[in-house]
Amino acid sequence: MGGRDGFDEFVRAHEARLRVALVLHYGPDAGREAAAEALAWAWEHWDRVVVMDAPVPYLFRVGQSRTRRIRRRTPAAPFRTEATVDAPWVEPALGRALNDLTAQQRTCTVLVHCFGWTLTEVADLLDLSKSSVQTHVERGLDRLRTELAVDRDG
Amino acid sequence: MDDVLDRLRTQVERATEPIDPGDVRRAGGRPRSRLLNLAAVAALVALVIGVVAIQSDQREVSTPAAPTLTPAGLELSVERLAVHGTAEGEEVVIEFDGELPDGEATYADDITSLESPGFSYVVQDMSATVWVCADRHFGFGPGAVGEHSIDVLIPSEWFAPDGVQPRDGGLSYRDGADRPGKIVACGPYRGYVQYSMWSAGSVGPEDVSVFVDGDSIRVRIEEPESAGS
Repeated sequence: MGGRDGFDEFVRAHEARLRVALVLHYGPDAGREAAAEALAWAWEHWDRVVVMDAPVPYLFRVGQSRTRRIRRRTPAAPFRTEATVDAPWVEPALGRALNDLTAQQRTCTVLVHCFGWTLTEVADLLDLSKSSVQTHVERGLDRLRTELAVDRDG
Repeated sequence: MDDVLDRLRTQVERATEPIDPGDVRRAGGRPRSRLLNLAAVAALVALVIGVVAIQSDQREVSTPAAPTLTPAGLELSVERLAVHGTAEGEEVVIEFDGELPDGEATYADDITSLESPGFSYVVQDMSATVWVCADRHFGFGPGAVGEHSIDVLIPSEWFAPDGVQPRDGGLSYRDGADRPGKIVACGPYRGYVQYSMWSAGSVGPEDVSVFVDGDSIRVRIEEPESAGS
């Protein structure tokens, strides 16, 4: 497949951000599948993607578009709330807390506070204003504090 | 809290496996193969029935348009309608199966003159004709009473082909004591899909706010104090 130089580097550079964003928005199963579909679309349209200044928000939209179809045939799978042999790292309370946030709150809060995205980056991703993202982040943090019984200074 | 956020990050990172570029390349070949297969089948059918392809038919096998960052082609469906009371009046929620473009609906004065008005709303008075897409209504029924209709007009390009729900009957609800209200949907028509909310009391455009909240459109109706009392 000629003419697609740099695609592997592109995936390595952007895959994690794209996947995490879609997983936060749609849950692990649909989110990962949406990310895979979006990257497959990028492969198909590499000449367009390679010149983009901000490919992740664009591919997020592609993933959103694809995930509608995915969600119609795949029941929403929330974050896991039970540790198992194959997933001993699961903390049930954290899984429940993630599931209890709205998609916007979860995406905004976790991307900003856990993954270090700026408000502008999240606003571009979700096509929201910066102030809307800020509001989602504040509400998300408040809910997390309540759900996980963490006080403000803790 | 920092510790919790670190653990949350781990939980999210480990929820899924990374996507391998090699898998992407293989998956990326699928749509192309599907198109080629479809083209082959189409050619065979054309041969069998003796149809000669003509220039004007070529658009039928063109590559699907790529998704864009604009609201066009959102392909959303309405999943739920809900009505609940608020301190000031009531709120109608039209919930979709995906995120909507952020924004607030603008008020449009005359529904009969609208053509692709964008995200907007109108208030129609029951003392005159109420328009529900191309249909004229001279009364609310069956099962609804009211003095006005609040109509949210949503760009039709936001919807999937079967995304306008409910199609039949609409949603009936109790609008105050013994006063049934009703929400009906119609369209696409002139570039919009109309959600028409019939209810009691008399309100003006200034009593209504319509805005997007994530995956929902919220219609807040502030009822004048005299209404329903």
